[in-house]
Amino acid sequence: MSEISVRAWRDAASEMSGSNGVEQLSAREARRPLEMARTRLLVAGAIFAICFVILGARLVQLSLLDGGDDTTQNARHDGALLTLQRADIVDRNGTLLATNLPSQSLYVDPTLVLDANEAADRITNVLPDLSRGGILRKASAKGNFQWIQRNLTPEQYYAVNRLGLPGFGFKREERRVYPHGSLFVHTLGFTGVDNGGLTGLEAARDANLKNLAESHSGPLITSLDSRVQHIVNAELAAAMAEFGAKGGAGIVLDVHSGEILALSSLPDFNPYDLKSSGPDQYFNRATLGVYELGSTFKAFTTAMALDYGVVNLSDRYDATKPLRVARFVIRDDHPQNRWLDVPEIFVHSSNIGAAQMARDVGAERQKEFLGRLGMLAPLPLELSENGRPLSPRHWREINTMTIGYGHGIAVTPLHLISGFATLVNGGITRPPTLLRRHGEISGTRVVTRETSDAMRLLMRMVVEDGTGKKAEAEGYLVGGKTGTAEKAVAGGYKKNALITTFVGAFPMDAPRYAVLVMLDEPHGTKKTHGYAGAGWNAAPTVGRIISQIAPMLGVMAIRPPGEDEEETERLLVRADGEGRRLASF
Amino acid sequence: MIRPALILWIGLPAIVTIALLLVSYQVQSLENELETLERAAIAQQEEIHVLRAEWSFLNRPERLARLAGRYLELAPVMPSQVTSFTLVPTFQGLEQ
Repeated sequence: MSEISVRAWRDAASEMSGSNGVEQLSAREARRPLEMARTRLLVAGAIFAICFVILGARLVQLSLLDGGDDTTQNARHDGALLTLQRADIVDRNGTLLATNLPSQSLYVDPTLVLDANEAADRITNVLPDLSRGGILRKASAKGNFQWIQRNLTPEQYYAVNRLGLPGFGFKREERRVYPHGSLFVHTLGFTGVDNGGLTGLEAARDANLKNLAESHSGPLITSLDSRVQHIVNAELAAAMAEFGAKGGAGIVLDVHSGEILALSSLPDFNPYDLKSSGPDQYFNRATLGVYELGSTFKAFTTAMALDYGVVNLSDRYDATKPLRVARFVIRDDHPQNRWLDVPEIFVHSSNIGAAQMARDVGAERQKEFLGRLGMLAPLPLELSENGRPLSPRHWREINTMTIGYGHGIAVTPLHLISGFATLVNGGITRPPTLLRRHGEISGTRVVTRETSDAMRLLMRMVVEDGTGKKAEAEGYLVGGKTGTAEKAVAGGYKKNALITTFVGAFPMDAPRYAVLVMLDEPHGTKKTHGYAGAGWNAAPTVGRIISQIAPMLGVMAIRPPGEDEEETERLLVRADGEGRRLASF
Repeated sequence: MIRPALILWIGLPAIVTIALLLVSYQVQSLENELETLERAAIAQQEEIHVLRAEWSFLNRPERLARLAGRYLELAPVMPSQVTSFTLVPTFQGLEQ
């Protein structure tokens, strides 16, 4: 190293004291690094310039030309939206039936609790429903999380928060709230503490409700009408109380769309207080319970016989004496003891006549007809509580005849009203639904329009001067059919335990709504002279329901001709408050 | 020759930096404002939601029927009280 550096030093010294030529050479040589530096600088500058141009171009593209993904994301900022776990459920008029409300739930982190005994004392002071031992156990448990009480009321939340206990905290949750209480409990169902649907629409439409809430696409619109539901519920409850019935079902159905406006099953239960109700309250008699609904089935038998051309309205059957078939005897409840024509069989509810009519149609065609009407399979209703009809496995002649008047086949009340809607709406069956439908709904034709017209006439006759007189709601042309059946129990029928049904529609000149009322084990009263038949209890209930819901639903009443003048004048508003001068009349 | 260029090259970044700083503060304050507004909007929506539930609760048909029975002298509509415009006689001018 030292040898080389010494030589270099010597060279440099000799150059300094060297000649001119040497000097010239050294000047050129001295310029060379300078030039090299310049080119390097130029290259570096060019690279930087290109980089900056790229950056600048990107900047312009992003900010001015609206390119790139980020700008579009920021431009589409459409405000904050409240996101709940489940969508609301509303009725056809937009009335809220079920919603999620924020609530606070109390929990404890045992690792932070200072004095579990004191904490338990103070919490039981403000939440008296809780047991002291339970809180104490949770507050001294292992781990760092225990629920104390879910979904506190605002007052409870305030009271507990005021205690300021360390280790106790609140977690924001949502609670399903039904503003109408138990009114819709059999259709909407209820949810569990973690907001999962457990019964009814809440369970059947669980995923749908969660998706709606997530995508902010509004509430689930049902076909129900809270006003109609209230009237049906109230009248059904009143009828149950009056006749000492142990249960009842009531349905109002739009005959043209299959939409259910009201569906009630009593007794019902409180969705907030599940513990105090038993299986009888939970049981949905309208959609899950299957019953032998008796004479109401004569409407299907008559329609079937007319539609197959087996009979016409003027044909007559022998009802002079009870009918013997194999080892059975078919009797009439209202015996006329004479030959009856088809309308008379229907109006007087003759079992003998209906059985013969069914026999003339035959088992095969009866089975096929009832199948098309939907009487042999569960309905495609949006509920998990969907009853499966019971029908004979071997459809013999005796079965055909008893089914002709409604025995030996068990269907839900919803099946029955759906079948009646088909008979009166022109003959087209549409599956009943709890969800709002729009526009023209396609259905399948079951009977001809002529048969449907004949059935409307016959049903009107039942109310005008048959077993269903008490179902009349003045001006609304109610028509329908009564049915009184003894309850089927294991191995036979229970005497004096009746299922009474009235199912009808109004107005009969152009039916719009079908109404059904079924009472489970009603009893006779003094007012009904001890009778407990459908004409005495279910029919008047339907009449009262129709007279209240028809004006609400915009059904025009037909005024009976010759109504007295005074009545009209009393109803009109006077123009000047004196005399009988009326505005523009 | 060197001076104006130097001033330009020092001044321009300075101006850009200051502008950027100002814009960034502005964005930050706007973002804060947005967040406050959004929180308020959510709170309002929640309040409306609760009020809607209360409205539905107070409008239960059963309660309305009870209140109407107690305070109003109204009865349910009778069939004879309902009519349609098509059934109303057309106005012919005042007679007599």
